[in-house]
Amino acid sequence: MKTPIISVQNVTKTYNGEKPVYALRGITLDIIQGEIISLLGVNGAGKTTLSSLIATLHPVTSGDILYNGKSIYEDLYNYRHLVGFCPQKVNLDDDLTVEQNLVFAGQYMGLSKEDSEKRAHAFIKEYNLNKYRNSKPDTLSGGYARRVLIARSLMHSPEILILDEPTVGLDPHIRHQLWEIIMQLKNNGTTVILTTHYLDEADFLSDRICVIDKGRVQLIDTPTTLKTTYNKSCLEDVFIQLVQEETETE
Amino acid sequence: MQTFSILRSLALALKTDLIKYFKYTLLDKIINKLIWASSMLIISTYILPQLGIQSSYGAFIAAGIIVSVAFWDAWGVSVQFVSDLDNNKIIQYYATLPYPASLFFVKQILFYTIRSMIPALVILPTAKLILLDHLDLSHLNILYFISIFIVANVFCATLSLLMTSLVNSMNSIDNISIRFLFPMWFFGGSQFSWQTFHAVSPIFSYISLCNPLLYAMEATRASVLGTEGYLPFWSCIVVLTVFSMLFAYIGSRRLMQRLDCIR
Repeated sequence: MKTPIISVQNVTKTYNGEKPVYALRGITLDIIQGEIISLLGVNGAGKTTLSSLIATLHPVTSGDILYNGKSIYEDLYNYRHLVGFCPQKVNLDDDLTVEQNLVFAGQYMGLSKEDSEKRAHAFIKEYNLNKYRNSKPDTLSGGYARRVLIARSLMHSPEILILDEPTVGLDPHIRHQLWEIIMQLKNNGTTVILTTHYLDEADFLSDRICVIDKGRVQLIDTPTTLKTTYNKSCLEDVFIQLVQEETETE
Repeated sequence: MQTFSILRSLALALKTDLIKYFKYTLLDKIINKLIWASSMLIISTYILPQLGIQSSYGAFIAAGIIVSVAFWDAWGVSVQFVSDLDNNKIIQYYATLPYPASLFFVKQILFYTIRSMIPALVILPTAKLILLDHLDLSHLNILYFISIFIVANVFCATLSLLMTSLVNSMNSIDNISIRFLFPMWFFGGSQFSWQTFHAVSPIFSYISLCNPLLYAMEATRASVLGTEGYLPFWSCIVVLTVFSMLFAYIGSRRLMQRLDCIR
């Protein structure tokens, strides 16, 4: 039994307002070191909320999240050094160039200016961003902006990378290029938490899939086991059946 | 070690803000403020006296403009902040860097202070050039001026944080400027001293003591034109400091709540 790098323990998240929204209703989930785990679910299921809690963007309402057996909130700032977060919405600094965005990101996370520059140049080369190194992010196409965003979240060599819908709205060939980048990260030992709507993407990339429904974990398993269990050839059919079962139960 | 790392990240975030400000915004800011200040000074010194207003009114306005520049800059900062909250949410990236969210807001206050201080610095020399003998600087108290210059700019920075926290979205941004800032500025001593207001309406002048901008205006004028005829200088400093702490606390608390940050 592999020890989990991240252990989500009975986590709930409620957004208070005129009408409280119960986004997560007691999620328990172990994430194994070096795996790619995909969080799947319909809109509003709680995938983005869960990934943003693991990224420490927001606090949990109750429950705990452990990193190597220790609550992340006990040593939040060190934990943030270990996590890279790539949000759904491109939030690069449009006043800085692509290169500056990367160099500053490395420095915020404790790298020296020289190391940060070296690493930024390596990413610029690796992700084919050379042409755009001095461009402002708001002039980039969706695919290139997404690459910069991934590079920024990797500047400090995090152990865990959280990707929230990284390929949404991108052309198929760009999506496939990003898949290669994600697979390469896994090969380098990075644990990847992937939130996605695309079932082919989850099928291709994931070691395990976690289906979330109405703020609860519906099931967790490998894509192959899910397909075998539900006797389906592709993950999309499994997902459709799960949604239908859920609707019938209601 | 961790404290050092936190401070280093914060200092770097401040440096990034300043680099962006110096590179893309500062020159435009200075030009805009100079046009605004020059227009007001020319009118108040050379045109309004033709309507019977004292010729010293230009000097009175000049000292107030130093605060007005920072006050309205605070509004500009708030608009930018709200626009980010409505759109790209770059702040969410900065809020997840390895430092406490509360210190992030301290960094913001520091940046806003520096940002408003720099254009305000050119106002006094410009005023002297336009007003010539109409602006007598023999009463200028350097210690007082430096003190109120810093305190007033910190106050405006905290005010901008508070305003940002009060605006729900870009759609409602005008509500704050028209309903809150304009009355605050007009009745905050931008056009007349508290003593003048008191002579016209004692009751309303006492009510206006709740307006913190009044203390910034009064103390700045006292430092440039002499203390006679203005509220006690050090009392103004104390009141402004208290308001600044209050605004910083409420503003950052409300924004942390809105962003749902880990505290």
